[in-house]
Amino acid sequence: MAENRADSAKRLGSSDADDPESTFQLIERARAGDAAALDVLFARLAAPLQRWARGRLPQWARDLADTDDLVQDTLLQTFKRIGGFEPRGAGALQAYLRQAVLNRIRDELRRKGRQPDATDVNGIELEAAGSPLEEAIGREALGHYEAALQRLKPDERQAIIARVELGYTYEELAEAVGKPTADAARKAAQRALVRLAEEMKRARE
Amino acid sequence: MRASEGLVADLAGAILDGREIDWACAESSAGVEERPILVQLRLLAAVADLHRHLPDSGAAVAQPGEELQQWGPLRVLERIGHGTFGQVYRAWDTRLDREVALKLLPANPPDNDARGTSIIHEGRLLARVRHPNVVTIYGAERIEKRIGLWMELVKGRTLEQVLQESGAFSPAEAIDIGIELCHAMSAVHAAGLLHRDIKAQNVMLTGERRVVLMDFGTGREQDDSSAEILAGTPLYLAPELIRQPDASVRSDIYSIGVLLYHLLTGSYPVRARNLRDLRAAHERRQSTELRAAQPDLPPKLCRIIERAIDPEPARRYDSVASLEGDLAALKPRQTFMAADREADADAPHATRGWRSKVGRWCLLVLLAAGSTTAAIYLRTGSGPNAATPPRGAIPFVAVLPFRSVGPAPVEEYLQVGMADAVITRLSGLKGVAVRPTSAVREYVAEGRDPLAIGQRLRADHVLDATVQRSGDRVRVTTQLVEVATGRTEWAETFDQSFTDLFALQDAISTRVAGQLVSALSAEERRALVRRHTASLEAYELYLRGQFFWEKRTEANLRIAIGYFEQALQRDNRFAVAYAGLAHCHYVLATSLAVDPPLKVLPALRSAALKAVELDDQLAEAHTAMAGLYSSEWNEHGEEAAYKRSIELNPNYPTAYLWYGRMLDRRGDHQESLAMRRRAYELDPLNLQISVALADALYKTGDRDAALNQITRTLELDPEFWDAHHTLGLFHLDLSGYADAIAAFEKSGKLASIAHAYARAGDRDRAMSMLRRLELESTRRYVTPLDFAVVYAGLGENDRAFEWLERAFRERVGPLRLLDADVRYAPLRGDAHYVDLQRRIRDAHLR
Repeated sequence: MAENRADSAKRLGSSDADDPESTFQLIERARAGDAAALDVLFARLAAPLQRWARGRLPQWARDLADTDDLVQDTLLQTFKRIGGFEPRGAGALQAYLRQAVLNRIRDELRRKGRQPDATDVNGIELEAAGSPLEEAIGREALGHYEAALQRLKPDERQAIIARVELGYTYEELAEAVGKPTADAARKAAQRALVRLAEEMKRARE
Repeated sequence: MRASEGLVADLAGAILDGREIDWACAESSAGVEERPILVQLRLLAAVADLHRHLPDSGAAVAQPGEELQQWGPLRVLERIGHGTFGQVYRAWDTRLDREVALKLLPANPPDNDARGTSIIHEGRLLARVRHPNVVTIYGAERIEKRIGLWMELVKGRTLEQVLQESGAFSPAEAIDIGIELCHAMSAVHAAGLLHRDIKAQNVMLTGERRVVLMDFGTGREQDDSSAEILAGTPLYLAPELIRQPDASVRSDIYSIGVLLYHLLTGSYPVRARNLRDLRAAHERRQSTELRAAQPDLPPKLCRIIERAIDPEPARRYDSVASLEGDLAALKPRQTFMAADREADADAPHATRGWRSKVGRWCLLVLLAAGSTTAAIYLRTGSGPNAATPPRGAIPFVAVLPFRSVGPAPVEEYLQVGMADAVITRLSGLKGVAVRPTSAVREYVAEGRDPLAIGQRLRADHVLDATVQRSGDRVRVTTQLVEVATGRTEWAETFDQSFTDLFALQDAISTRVAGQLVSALSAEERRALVRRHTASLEAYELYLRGQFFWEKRTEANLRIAIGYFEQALQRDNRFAVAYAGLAHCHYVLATSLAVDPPLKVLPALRSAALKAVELDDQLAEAHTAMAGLYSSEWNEHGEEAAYKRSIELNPNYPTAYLWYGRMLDRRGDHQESLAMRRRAYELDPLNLQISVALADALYKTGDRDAALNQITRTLELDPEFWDAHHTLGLFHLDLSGYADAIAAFEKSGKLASIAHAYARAGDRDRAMSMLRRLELESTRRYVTPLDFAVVYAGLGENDRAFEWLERAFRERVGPLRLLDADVRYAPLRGDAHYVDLQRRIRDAHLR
């Protein structure tokens, strides 16, 4: 874990002494039309999402370069409209971008015309040809997970995405979701995860 | 309730922290009410775990220092695949000097110890299985906390890929594959092992039509204790394994049966959506009979497969040998590809997809089936403008890599190297044309058919040799075969001390030359025994450098440079190694445009000058000089150097290829076409040459032949970027923007994609790509021409010219293709264009 944290801190560049500017501040500056801030923001947010996207694209649709391009492109499209983005913090932006990339991935899969039909008689085989996440927990469970995530409160959802999906450290998480300490951020994420499990259970009842 | 909240919250915390959780223990301490929540938490743990182990981003965001470069004895070259199990790399085994595939588990796999130990254990057992139909495992170890398995690098497609792309297999095809799989499994079972994970995704078809059994089950079947979490493809699992994991020879046979069923139908005998349903279906004996799934199959074949997949293990075949025996009895006299060939006559369209998908493999086997077919195929679609002109009276000879025999294997680079040495020596002869090393390199495999390869390479004679090493001695057995008749024209055995390898190569070359050419001139005799270095060590390093040079990608060229430099450290008078070094620098700065030309110039200059200073009679030294002149924009010198190189060795394809590009630049498209035709004739399987020929055909107005040539290139390698890119340029020229965009996207060349979008009117998208290009240029060198191309597409001529001027200042070579490159067409009415064009011309004539 220590290794992962170090990596993710480097990726996000948020707690470096020589780069003290918070993501929140960068968003503010970018909204005001500061192109340099946009670039820093881009560099900071793209890598974790690119890594994340590898879990959501099936092998057959996943090419290292393609995945990166898809994420970059989505980010650039979103950033064009950053002036209209409500500044609710880094976590909100990150969650928003994640959804945008997810939508784009779904579009891509539809476009490639090989999105397997859930009722297909070869269900299992098609599941096996799904994304790593689908392969890990199954298509149905993944559907429940996504749906339950959407039913959470925004700050709960943001905490799960940042910590579980994007690998934020608790320090980064605190900054992203506006908690005073890493410990407080961890507690919030913990509550959110229990809530998520309850939502998923409810869907199965 | 309080206690339960405590447990659930603790588990949630552990999941977030990424700590190990003992789920069995957690479940036993949970109350009835908590259990459903625990099921969900366990899923969430899997979600978190997966995200923690995702591979890092690609080159665009990776820190250079973080790239894995070395793992134990293996130098990691490039990542070629990845999955939830970890990463697969192409690597170089520095101890044994061979290319390998390396599978590395994630740095911190969740159940590192148990699974890791079992993988190492299995890998070591599997390393004992040596069979052409089973991937050869070289080793399995834990090094620096990472568990890796390294093996033979198998190039090809999985049966599942072929199935997805080309549809169900014919009975004859399935029978052949079944027989080869049985061979493979006999070897596995004979070693006392089981495979446990036979499925279409785990069987590869290689370029030489070899069926290779890949990934073995490594204990993954133990993971399916939960109905929710599925790993692998349980549809191949014998029913008894779903009840309890107790694999046997008969459960492997069941999987072979399912695989054959799947190849024939695209479906499975027992289908279900999850493991629970699958178990229920098995219990109800709910399966689809093969004949019901595909009614027109031969009844005997159906009975064999039904027996292999009998739910009752005792009623299945008791060994793969008996299954193989039954399959072999069904085998028609013709091979399945011969059957395919017959179908070809009736339904050319139907076989076309299959052929293009399987590419080289299919083509090769077609050729093996008979020379008449070969001739028909090679002329298909070329029409009156056949890409290859009729051959003259000079015979072509193909020297195949020397095959390693005997207990002490000879490394692949040396097998190729021995052939390369003979090729080099023979290429100085006027009376015979030799296929270059790059064309024969791929035929190192065992069980090759020299005649079929000869036909494929359109050679009149094939030199087929074996090499056996025993201590310091080396024995080479050669035979020269006439392709048209299959007659052995000459055979001889050479014994020599290994330290006197050069004398051996001289002797073989001289004998072969004597067989093929009636009268050798004194100069030719000298050429046959000319040695480039006296140092065996330097020579070996040079051969390795050549190996990587021929791959022509950035990473490989940089490795090649390293080897050439090492070779020169051993022998600083090794002319051809200097030439190799110069070639690499030249290509990095021009065709690949990944190095700034002015930065590269000093290294290129010193290497090229040294090469020609040391050996003025060396064709390669003169192409190196041509590269230098080209980089200095000295067209006069460049042309003279190509001519000299061709004069010294009329069979050296690179000289024709590069000379053709120079002529194209100058607008002399007809001459360029002639050069590229010659290069293609010498090396018909070289992708770059093939695309260059297509380009020349297009520019001389023969669009159909150009498109055919592109198709042919993509049949050799469906992913070759430059074939897609050149096709995109054709479409762009015809204003077919949608087609151009599609082709450019396949090439991955961002500037061209953006250009095409801009021309098609999608300015937004072009701008966003331009921005990406700008971001990229902060991380690595991006040629100014890329920006010029995008701005030209956007109609921002002033910006385009700013970048073109910068390219002019930096002496970027491909700028001189201004007139020949359709992407600059929008600029052509501009006064600035005319001015720039004039200055480029003047710079050349200075």
